[in-house]
Amino acid sequence: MTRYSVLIVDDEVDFREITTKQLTRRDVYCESASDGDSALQMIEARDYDIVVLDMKMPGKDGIETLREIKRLAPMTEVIMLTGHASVESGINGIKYGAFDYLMKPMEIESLVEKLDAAYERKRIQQEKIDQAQTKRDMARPS
Amino acid sequence: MKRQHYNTLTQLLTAGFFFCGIIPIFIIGTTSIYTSKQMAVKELEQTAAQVVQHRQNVINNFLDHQVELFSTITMLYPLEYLQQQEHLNRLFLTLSKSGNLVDVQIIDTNGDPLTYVGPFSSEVKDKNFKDQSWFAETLVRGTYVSDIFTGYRSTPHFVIALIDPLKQYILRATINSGAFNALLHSTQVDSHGEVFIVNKRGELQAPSLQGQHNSLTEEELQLIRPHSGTSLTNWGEYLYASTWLNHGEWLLLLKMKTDDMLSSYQEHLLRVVAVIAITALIFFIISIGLSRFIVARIAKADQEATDLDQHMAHIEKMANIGRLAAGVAHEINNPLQMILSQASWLDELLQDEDPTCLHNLEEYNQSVGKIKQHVSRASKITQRLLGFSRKISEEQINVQINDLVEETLSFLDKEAQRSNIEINLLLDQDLPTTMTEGNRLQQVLLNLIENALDAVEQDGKVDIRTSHDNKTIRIDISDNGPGIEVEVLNKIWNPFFTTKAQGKGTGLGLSISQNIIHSLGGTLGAENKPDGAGAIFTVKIPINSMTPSTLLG
Repeated sequence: MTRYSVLIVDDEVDFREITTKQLTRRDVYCESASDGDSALQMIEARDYDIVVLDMKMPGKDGIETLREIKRLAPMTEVIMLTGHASVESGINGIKYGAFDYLMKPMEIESLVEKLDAAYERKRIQQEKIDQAQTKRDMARPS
Repeated sequence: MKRQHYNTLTQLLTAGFFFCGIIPIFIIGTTSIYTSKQMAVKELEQTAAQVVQHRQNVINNFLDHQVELFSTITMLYPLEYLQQQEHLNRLFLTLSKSGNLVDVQIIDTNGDPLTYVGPFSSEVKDKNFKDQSWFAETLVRGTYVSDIFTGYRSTPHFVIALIDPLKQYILRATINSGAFNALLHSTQVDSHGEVFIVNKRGELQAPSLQGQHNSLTEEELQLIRPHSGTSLTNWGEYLYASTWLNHGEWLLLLKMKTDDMLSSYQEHLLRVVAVIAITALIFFIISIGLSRFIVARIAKADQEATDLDQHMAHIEKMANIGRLAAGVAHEINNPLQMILSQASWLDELLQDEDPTCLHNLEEYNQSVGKIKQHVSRASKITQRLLGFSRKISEEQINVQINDLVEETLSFLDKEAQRSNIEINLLLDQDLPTTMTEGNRLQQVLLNLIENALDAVEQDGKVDIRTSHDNKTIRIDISDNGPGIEVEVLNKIWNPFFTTKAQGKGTGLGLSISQNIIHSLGGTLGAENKPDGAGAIFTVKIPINSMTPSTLLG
């Protein structure tokens, strides 16, 4: 039983593999994509709770992919990764709806912390939506 | 080199100003001198002409008078009357009252002397004059006035001879030329002037006033040429005025030394020269002052331009380094991430191992820990590198620098205690607060204090002093370490320049610090203490009052 599902989008295969291993070990369902386009295809096919998105990738860059994701699946939380360590790019990501950002290199623990927090927010928002739907359903005369 | 350049410029400007100022004055002065000389010469010439004319009149009158007198006598008395000695004696007495008459002689037309009154009767008694040229001339022309000659009479004299209207006899009178000389010099012109009379052959007829001339020079002889009226000639330093006398027989010559006669002009010349000299001096002083002032201005402007250029070059260099650093940092951060992830993965897996089966487990754990530690170190360097490219400014907050210093020190207390370093806080209690980026300023202070602690090593002393004036807050961080070598004093701000041991410093601290302070509108400087015992780093930042938005808030 996994706690939540995560899609890792990064152009470095080693990073995808090791992070997948680490997260799986922590009871997180984890898949990975090597670029923005394939990530978007996967998101279309299946719901992920959280997407971990590298800022700088060949093809579609992080911000562009982020906007697409938010359009396809608004409820999915996104955590941006930046090797550039520039605060601007992180802030930029948050502006477009990312949950938070992390600077490389980071410890797996920091990533997990952020993932947990992101999932918590998603869960709370999902709950709110569910409650609202229930209310609406109940209010509607059958 | 530069000094030389400015000196040359000063000299050029001085010369330029000086000549521009002095040339018009020089021209005016020279013109004035020239004009005044012309006028003086003209005046002198006029005077000379007047004098000569006056003398001419006087002498001509005298001669005419004498001639007229004797011609009256010849008209009044017939030969028969004058042939008698007593009659001539009486006449002589009457005529010689004026004192000019030396002797009188009556000669018949054959040249034989008839009667004579005078002191030289023995010499002339039996002398026949028929062959003498003056006698023939008198017979033809009726009147004759001789040159002045000494003759057999030892005193200078001249002779007037006339023939009576009936051509029966000739009256010859000798006139004392001393009286004639007195006439010549009667009205004194000037002590500088010389007046004399010469005959056509250039023989002096009357002694010159100054007595300097016994004969004429070659040049002066050329003056004896026919001309009417008065002729003026400038010869070297002399002015000659000449006019003919005695019906063109004698030439009256006035000779004046031009220079001596131009005393008013000389005075004027002196005055003008003095004025030009004084003006030149004044102009010279003004030129020096003016050109120094201008060159100082230029030097200042040059200096400012150079400073600005250097500043701009520094900023550009920093921006380039920033771009480079950001690129490098990004490329290094990715592999660092991989190393860290792999190490973490190893770490996780090692926890699962059975310590009894893996007798080097402890070593593996340690090794993994070291890997993580060094990745973290490398990551700090890349973070710092990225500090260059960080353009986003932090929030401006109202900062009390004293508090900021104390807070910064609290991070370093332990390190200082460990090395037994004494930190003295000399805080300005009236220090105003300023709007600035507190965190970034603290980053700088932290860096500077860390450097100071590194510099003094064991048992050292670090002073931190704050002070302010109207516009700036000043923070001095001084240590009693070895100071900064003069050769590297300019280089310490360059990125990657470090004097610390390999692996201890990145060489970025001061460079980033200076960047930060510049972006806060301040300055960061370093110098050695005058006594050479350590270095002082000085931060100056402007005092910004509340921003409008804070006031509104």
